[in-house]
Amino acid sequence: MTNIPVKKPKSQFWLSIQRINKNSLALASFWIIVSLYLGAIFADFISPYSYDNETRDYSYCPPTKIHFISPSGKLTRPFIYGASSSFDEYKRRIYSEDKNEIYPVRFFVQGDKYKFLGFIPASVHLFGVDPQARIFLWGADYRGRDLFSRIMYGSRVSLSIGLLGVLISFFIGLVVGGISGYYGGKIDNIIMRACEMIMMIPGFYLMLALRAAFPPNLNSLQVYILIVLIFSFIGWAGMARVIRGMSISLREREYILAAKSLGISDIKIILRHILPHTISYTIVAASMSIPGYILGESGLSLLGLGIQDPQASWGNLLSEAMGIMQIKFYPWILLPGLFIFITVIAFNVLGDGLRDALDPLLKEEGLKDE
Amino acid sequence: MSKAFLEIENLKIYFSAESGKNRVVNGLDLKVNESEILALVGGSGCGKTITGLTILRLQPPQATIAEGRIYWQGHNIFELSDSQMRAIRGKEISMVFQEPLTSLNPLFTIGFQVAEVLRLHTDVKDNERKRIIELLEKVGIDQAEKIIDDYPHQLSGGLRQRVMIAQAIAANPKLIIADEPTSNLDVTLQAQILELFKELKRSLNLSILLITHDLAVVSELADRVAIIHDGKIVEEGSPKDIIDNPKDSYTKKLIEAVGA
Repeated sequence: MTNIPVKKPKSQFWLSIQRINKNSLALASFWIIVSLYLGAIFADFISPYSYDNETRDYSYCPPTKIHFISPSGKLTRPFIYGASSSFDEYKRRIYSEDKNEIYPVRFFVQGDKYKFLGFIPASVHLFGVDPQARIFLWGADYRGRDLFSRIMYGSRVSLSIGLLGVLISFFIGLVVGGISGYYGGKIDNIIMRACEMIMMIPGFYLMLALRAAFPPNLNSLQVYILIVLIFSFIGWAGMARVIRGMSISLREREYILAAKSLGISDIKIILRHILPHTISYTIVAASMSIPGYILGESGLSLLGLGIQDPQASWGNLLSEAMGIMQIKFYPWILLPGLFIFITVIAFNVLGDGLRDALDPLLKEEGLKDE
Repeated sequence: MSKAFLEIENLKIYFSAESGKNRVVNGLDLKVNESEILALVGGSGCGKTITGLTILRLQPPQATIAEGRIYWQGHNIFELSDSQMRAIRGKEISMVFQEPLTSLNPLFTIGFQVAEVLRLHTDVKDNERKRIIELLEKVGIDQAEKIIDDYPHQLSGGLRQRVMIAQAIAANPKLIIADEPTSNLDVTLQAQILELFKELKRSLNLSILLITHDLAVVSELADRVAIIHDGKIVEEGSPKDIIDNPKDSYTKKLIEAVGA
C-alpha cells in the first residue's frame, strides 16, 4: 500500500478565524479594540503628562496647533508656538499663539514619573515639548490638565471594567446556569426565580441603589472594585438564563449519559462536557455585553458616583461636559464621549462578526436564531 | 460454581405521564452470572434499555421505580449513596451505548476521553499514554498511536464504537452492559464487534449483559438468553434451546421474524 499524505482537516476554530478574516468590518473593529487596549496599557508612556498634572494658567486651553512650516516658510520638524492668554469681556481666557516662542515637538522626552507596566519606574514619554511650554493635543480641561493624557489614563478604567465585569459575571452565569439546567427540578426553580428577581429591576437603578448602599467616601480603587462587583452582581442573571437553556438541551446528549455511566461526577460533567459546548455563544455574548459595562461605568461616573477626580475615566471626563456653556465654548471636552462611542460600536460590530464566523457552531447548538 | 453477582428481583418501573401511569418494566427477574454473556432480547418498547440503565441507576427522571431490588454482589443498589454508585459506574459496571456517533464528546480527543476514565478509577500516572494505547489496541484498533489525538468526528463509526468499548473496559470492570452495541453498524462491523466482545470476555473474564433485538446476533455470542416481552422475562435458556424449541408464543414470533 502506498502512503497517501492525508491533510488533517482544519479545526473549527481555524475555520472561524478564516471567516472573520473575510469580514473587513469586524476585522477593523478588532484592530480598533486592540489599539484601544494597547493605548490603555501604555497610557503613561503615550501621554505627555500625568493624569493629575495641572496648570491652572491653561484652563480650557484649546488644542495646540502643531506646525510644520517654519515662520520663514520652510518645511521643518513639527513645532508649536508658546501660548499667551488674555481675558475677554466675560472673563474667559482667550489663548493666542506667541510667534516669538518656538518649541519643537520632541520624542522620547523626560517628563512626569510613572511606573511602566505598573512596576518599572520610568519618566520617558512618547512625545512632549520643553517644560516651559505645554502641548495639549486635544485641549485642556478647566484645571488645565491635558485631555489627551486624561483620555488615555481614563481608558484604563473604562476598558478594563468591561473586561473584568464580563469575566466575573460570565463565570458566575456559566456555573450557575450550568448547574441549574443540568439538575433541573427544584434547584432550577430556585435559581431561575432568583435570576428573575435581579432581572426584574431596571439595571441602572439597581446599580444606583447598590452604589448608594456603600459609603460615598471611598477611594478610587475601592470604587473601581465596587463597581465591578455591582456589575457582576447584576450581569450574571441574564447569562445564567441562557446557559441554563443550553445546558437543558445538552444534558440530553448521549455522551452525557455515557459520561455518567463511566462514573464521572456531576461537577466534572458540567465543567467538561456541558459548558465547553456553550463556548461559541459565550464568546459572542461577552463581546456584545462589554459595551453595557462600559456604558454603565460611564453613567455612574458621569453622575459622580463612580471614579472620582483626579482619577480619570471616560465617564467622569464627560461629566465636565454637562453644561451647555462648556460644550459651546470648549467642544473638545466631548472627546471622551467619542471614545465611548467608538468602543461601543467596535465591540458590537465585532460581536456580530464573531457570531457570523461561529455560525456553524451556533447552528450545531441550535442557537442560530438567538 | 458461578454465583449470581448481578441479580434483579421483581423490578417494576413506571413512566408517569399525564394520561396516567405507564408500566414499562413489570416484575422482571434476571440473573447474570460471573463471566457469562447473557443476552436480553426483546422488541422495541419492551423495557430492555431502561432495565440496563436502571442497573446503573441512570434511569430517566420521569421513570419511577415502583418495586423491586437490584443486587450487585450482594448490595442493593437502590440503597447505595450517590457517591458509592458513582464508584461502581465505570469501575465495576460499565456501559456501551447504541450510538457510536454521539456517545463521545465531540470537543475532546479520544485519548483524553479514555484518560478521563483512567484517571478517575485507576492510579495510572506516568505511563498513562502507554496504557491508553494498550487499551485501544486491545479493542482492536491497529493504529492506536495515530488516532489517539484525533477527535471523534475524524473517526468512522466502527472505530468510535471501539473507543467506547475501550472507555468501558479502561478500569477493568466486572460487568459490561452493552445496549444494542451493533445496531447502528453495518453487517461486517457487527460481526467484528461481536467477536471483540467474545474476545474481551475471554481475556478479561468479563460478564456481559447484551441488550439487543436481534436473535441472530445472540445465537453465536451468548451463553444464555433471556427473552423479554412487555417488561417481563418470558423465557430463559441456552441459545440453542430457545431457538430450536421455543415455548413462549412471543419467542416463536421473534424466531419466525428472523427466519423470514
